[in-house]
Amino acid sequence: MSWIEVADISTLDDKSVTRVNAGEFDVLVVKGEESCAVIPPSCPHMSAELAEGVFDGCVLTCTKHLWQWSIPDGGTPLGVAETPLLMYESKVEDGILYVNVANQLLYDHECEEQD
Amino acid sequence: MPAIEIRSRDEGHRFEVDSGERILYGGLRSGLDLPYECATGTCGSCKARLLDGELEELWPDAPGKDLLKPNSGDFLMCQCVPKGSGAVTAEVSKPVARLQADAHAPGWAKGVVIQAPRYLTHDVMAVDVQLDRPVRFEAGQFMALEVADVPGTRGYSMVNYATETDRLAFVIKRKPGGGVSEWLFGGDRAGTPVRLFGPLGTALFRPEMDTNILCIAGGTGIAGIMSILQRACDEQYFDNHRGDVFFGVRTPADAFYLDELSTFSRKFPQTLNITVAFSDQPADDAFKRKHGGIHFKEGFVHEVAGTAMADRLQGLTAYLAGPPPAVEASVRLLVMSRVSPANIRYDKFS
Repeated sequence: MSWIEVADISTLDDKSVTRVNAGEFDVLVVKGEESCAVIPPSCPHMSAELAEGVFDGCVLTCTKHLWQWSIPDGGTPLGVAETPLLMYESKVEDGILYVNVANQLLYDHECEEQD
Repeated sequence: MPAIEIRSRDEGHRFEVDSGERILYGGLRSGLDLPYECATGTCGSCKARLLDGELEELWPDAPGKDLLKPNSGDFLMCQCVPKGSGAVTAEVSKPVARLQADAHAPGWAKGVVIQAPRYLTHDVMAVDVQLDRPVRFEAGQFMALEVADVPGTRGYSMVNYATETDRLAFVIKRKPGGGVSEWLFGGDRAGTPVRLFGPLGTALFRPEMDTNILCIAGGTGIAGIMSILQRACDEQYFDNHRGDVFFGVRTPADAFYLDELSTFSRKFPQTLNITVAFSDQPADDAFKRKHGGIHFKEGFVHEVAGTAMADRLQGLTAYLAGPPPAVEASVRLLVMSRVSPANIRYDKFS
């Protein structure tokens, strides 16, 4: 386990998508009304910036090709999306969001880049 | 002729390309529905990975290459041709099917530019091309256009519509540094031969859709919308469907096709609403009087559309076109209003 503090959740708007630093790399905080999900910053389709995406509290949409995922269902693909989102383990303690950054999560097409 | 094999999901698809022909175009011509969007090097959607053979790159600085992984064998099918007459095997990650039976298969056509420069505004030009054979296309589709001796290929949407025609109308915006655009603006090009590949694109309109339509266009993005309106008006689509069209430009001096848009809206005054939005400078009363049948508003076109359409966005088909930031803003508007992506149509050019 390697927990790192990434945000004070009172500073994040509901239904927002925010790119934050998590030490060695950046992550995206997807803030719903009652919970937060933490995902890698780029779209699993063509690496578009998901921080530019739209989150309605339930569905996250990448505005490049309209891939969509259900955030409460753990990033399950909806509609034309073919790949689920990867999700970091996260927890909120005393209003602070922590992310387990033991391993950077990468989509298949990103992995070779890192070799 | 060089033999190509494209592998996708454990299937191999074989076709041949002509000498010097882009792999994407050869594949589409053979009836394969290969992945692409712009087909001209900017979007990166036609990415493939080379497994065997050698390639020659036509545009080494293509912006779409930003998405390729260096040293992985990744290449853009729209910008690569086989080296010499050698065979090429490559793999794409997306599923590849045959083109649908009712789709117009893309192919090559030769044409000539048929008139002297016809300026619609100071930086927008109408260009008509006479083809050596009739072509079929859907309203909203585009052609990739090449001019001998001018490097590069550019996508332009057809403005006109006919079920079959040997004459295509385009609008072209002057883009400093844009090869084909700079060349067209550089002098009288009447009689110059051009080559076109198409039809291309998926943001198309067919009357069978049977939904209300919303069009949001910025600048020359109105081109494909004109084709959609032409077909819809020709087939009396607005007798029993609603159409809302929002056309954004910066100032009244940047607006064009207003007479044509007036004509469309006057045919269906109850059901076809056309609004021109000016982001930088409003229209005066004389201008508004001159263009009856059109509504004029101030603001960015997606904002004007958002306000006007606030409670009417569900169940329609939306067509978006124009500069990428304008399309992006319209996409956000629609997605935030929970319009289903299945009802949003646009072709990405970046």
